[in-house]
Amino acid sequence: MSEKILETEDLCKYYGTGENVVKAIDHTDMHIQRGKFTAIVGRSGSGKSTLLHMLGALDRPDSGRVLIEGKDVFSLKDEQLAVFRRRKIGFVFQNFNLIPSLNVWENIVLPIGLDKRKVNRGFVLDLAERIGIGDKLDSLPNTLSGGQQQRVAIARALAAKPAIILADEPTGSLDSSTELEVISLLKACVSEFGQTLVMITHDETISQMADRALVIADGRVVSK
Amino acid sequence: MDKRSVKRVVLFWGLLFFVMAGGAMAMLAWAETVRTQEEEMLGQLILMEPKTEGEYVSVLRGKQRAGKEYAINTGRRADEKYGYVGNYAAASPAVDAFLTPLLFVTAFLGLLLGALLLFQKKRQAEMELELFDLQDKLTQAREENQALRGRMEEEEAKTKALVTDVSHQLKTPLSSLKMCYEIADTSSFTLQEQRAFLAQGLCEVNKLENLIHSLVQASRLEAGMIQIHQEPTSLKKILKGAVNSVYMKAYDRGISISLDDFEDKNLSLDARWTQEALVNVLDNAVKYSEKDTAIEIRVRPMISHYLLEIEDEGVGIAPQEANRIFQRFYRGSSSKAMKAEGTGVGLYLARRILEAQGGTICVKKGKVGSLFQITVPFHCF
Repeated sequence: MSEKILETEDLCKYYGTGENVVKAIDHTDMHIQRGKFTAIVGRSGSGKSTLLHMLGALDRPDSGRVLIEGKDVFSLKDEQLAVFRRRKIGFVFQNFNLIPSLNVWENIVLPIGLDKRKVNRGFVLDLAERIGIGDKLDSLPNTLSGGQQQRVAIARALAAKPAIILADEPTGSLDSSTELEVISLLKACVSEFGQTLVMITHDETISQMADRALVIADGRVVSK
Repeated sequence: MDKRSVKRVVLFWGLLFFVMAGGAMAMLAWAETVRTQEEEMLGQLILMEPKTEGEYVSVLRGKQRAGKEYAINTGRRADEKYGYVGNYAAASPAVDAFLTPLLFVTAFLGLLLGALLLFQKKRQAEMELELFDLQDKLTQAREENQALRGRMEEEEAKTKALVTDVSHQLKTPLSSLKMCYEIADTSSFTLQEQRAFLAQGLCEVNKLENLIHSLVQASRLEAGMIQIHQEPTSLKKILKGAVNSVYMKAYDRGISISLDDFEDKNLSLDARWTQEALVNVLDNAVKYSEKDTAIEIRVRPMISHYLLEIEDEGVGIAPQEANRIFQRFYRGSSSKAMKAEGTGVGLYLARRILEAQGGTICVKKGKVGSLFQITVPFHCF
């Protein structure tokens, strides 16, 4: 069986106190299999984004553990965690999160540069071409459409060749045909490079295309 | 401990010992010089005024003293009176002899020690990061190894499941066929009835033939015997070929298939298998459509993919079945699905073929029936 690349053990995240406490994540045990496309489906407020943020070590849980490749990430020193996260995980957010003052090329290679690694120009140019933004490398993000910006975000997440891609409703701001294209791209890329893709979505059609869909409700995960 | 770290430890402790020994020696020399200086001062004073020898000794050795502050001020005033101000070095040979070089040496050694400590800390941090890196690489290598083993086990399990599935699928039509011939062989039925059963038998044989054909394809795909060879091909040509394959079947049932013109591009595809995939989807659409309905095919180039939409006016697919219809041997739970011919392998194959070429297929609710959406990339990976 495909082994676990991401795992949570009795994960808890609460907001607020006393009577007003909101159990965003409530004693959750789940895992993601390496090399597969897993969709996390749930209604608004079910805890999907919180879970993804913790899987990506962007947010600390109140209790429980998050294991990335068997490593308890929150037991690492801050500097080690930052390096680890940068090398292992690529993020794609719903609102793209591009740096407005950098052009497309610079946005794409930024994570590689931050990690002080050399940029493989040939690979990145090829990637940009296949994703459909090869002719926009000198443009600034604010001159691009939503769909184009999301492609840049995807290229950025893929260029550093991380083992895991975490996507939080990456097609939420896009129209349905662009949505399909973006999902196809992500799927093909991670399959080609043997990466693991975890995507939050509320769209049944997208979850249809995943290898596995996990349903989350009231901070708990139920496997479909 | 290796030679390098032993050397470093020895160097560190050696340096420390040297510093401390030097410091101790300097302190002793200083004390000696101060004492000598005091004795000289005492001697000078006595020689100047021999009658006050006793007073000088008692003052210098602390037996008879005025108030400290008062004495300091008196001395200072005397210095000023005779013009000896701000000349610290000249006032004390001990200070002159030792202070400046001592300061320099101390400062130098202090800086050296500081630099060594800083360097040590830096090295430690670098090594910790290197260790972390190595541990990470080791974990990755281990995981990859496990992944490979996992894949092998998965392949084995898949093969076993396939064999089970195939034998299961073959059993039903085979036993039906057997029954037909057994009945046709008995004499308790009329000739006409026997002929009817024989005809039914032939039907089952045809079904079996189709089933076996699909199963062979599915198992070849599983076993990796089907190789997808992508070459520059025209999508229009493939689509036309697919439509032609199902056209007669659709015509027989009064189902019309329309394909709008679109801007053609040369894509890197396996023409044969891609056509096969599209035939399976169209075949599905024809099978589950009512008589005198229409199937519409629309093709649109997007930024990095073609979007192919095949919409029928058939029975539609329940949302909870949307993913399951792409599973091997899944036939659907509606009564029409049960009655229709088919092996449940077509859509499974279609998805495998398309995904192997970087495309996708999914199904949505159409205006009346189902809408299959297929993406095909312009550039393959």
